[in-house]
Amino acid sequence: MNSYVRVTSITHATKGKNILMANGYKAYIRRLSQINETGGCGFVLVFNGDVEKVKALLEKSKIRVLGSGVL
Amino acid sequence: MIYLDNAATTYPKPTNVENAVRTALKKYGANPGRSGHKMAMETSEMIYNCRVKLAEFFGGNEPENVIFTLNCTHALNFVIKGILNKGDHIIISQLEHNAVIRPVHKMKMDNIITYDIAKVYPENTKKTVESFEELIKPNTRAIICTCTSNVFGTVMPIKEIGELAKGKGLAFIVDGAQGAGILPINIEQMNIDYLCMPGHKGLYGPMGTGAIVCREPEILNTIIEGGTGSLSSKLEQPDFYPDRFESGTVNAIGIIGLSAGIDFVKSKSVKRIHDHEIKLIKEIRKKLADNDNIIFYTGEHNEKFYAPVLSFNIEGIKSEEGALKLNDMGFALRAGFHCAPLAHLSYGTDKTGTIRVSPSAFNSLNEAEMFCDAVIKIAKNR
Repeated sequence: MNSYVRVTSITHATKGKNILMANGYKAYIRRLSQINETGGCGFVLVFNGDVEKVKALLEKSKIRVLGSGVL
Repeated sequence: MIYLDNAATTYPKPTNVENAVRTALKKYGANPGRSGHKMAMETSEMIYNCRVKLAEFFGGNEPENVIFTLNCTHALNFVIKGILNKGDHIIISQLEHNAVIRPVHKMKMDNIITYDIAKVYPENTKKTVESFEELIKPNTRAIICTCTSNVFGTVMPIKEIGELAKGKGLAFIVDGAQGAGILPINIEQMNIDYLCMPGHKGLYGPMGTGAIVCREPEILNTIIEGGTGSLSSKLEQPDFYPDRFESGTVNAIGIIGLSAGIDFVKSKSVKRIHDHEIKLIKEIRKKLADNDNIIFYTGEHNEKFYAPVLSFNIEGIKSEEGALKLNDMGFALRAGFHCAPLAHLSYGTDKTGTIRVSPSAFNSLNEAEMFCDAVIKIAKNR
């Protein structure tokens, strides 16, 4: 089962994808549109792994995580 | 035609830039950061790669702190109008281009800010830095300084002014129009908070490209708001970079070309290109200096103090007329005031303007000699 974290922009998504891949994760970017508290259209990073660990890894690199979930 | 107007924009562009633009038109034609389909994602990746290259090239830390603009003037306007608030004071140098002077002056005329102009002492770093320091007031918010004069090539002591700004708690904004890709610039080592630059000059990218490379950007005011492809159900402009300053579709084709331009500069090295251009300027200066009726405005072309740009006039001939005659003989140069009235005032050329010669990596010694022969011929037949 794949998890995802929602980030602010395509730039942060690309940066995040590179960080995850450098840390041994298989990751890809997907466009996700949902009208909710996170603000509508945006990009998510899809990966297979522990969400909390990934969040910590991304936030350490100044990538704001807006939410997470399971695809 | 022999092109010696590279301070306006570099020409020709390197072959790898031509190829990158051609490929981009075919392969990366989707809107980056908007849609989620394959071509849009691949185009986004190419844009991101250029951010990474620019951040690395200028000693920046994070790719998201690289903001794409359409040119250096846009970049400067974003930063100047973004950082200044009512009651602020700002210091600029007397060698600034209108890209700095006009937005600053407009804000003064609108009773938003005040500004002072620091005198520049060519070849005297200490006195130049002191002249900035003397103008600092309790409400001074920032210093804006060009890397080098676009008219006379005067290199500004950016590192030392950066130290001053840091010590006084001021933001330091640098106009890198004539420095980016031409001189070594490291925003961390030089304490530059916002480095504004064109992509189409010393970085050899296509026209319509520019960038701001930021150190640790504050949340600046925006002058353009709109679609960013992010947080799109919110009515407020995003508070994160680069999206905060990148409303509307970016010039993806141009940015991909710029990315190739950076590769070109890196492959040659800034130092090698600089040394080559300085060599040409020194040769031109030396050959023309043998003629009494060629007027120079700067000292010997010591590369520590001057970038590879040289201004001159031919006695008895207006600068524009001289450039036209050179054009008729197959040489492309810019004459007049170069959008830098304060610089011309400083050097006493505010009534005449100057003819400016600015080589690139692609000019040869033979071309420089042919250029000198043409200038001398005009001077003798005036």
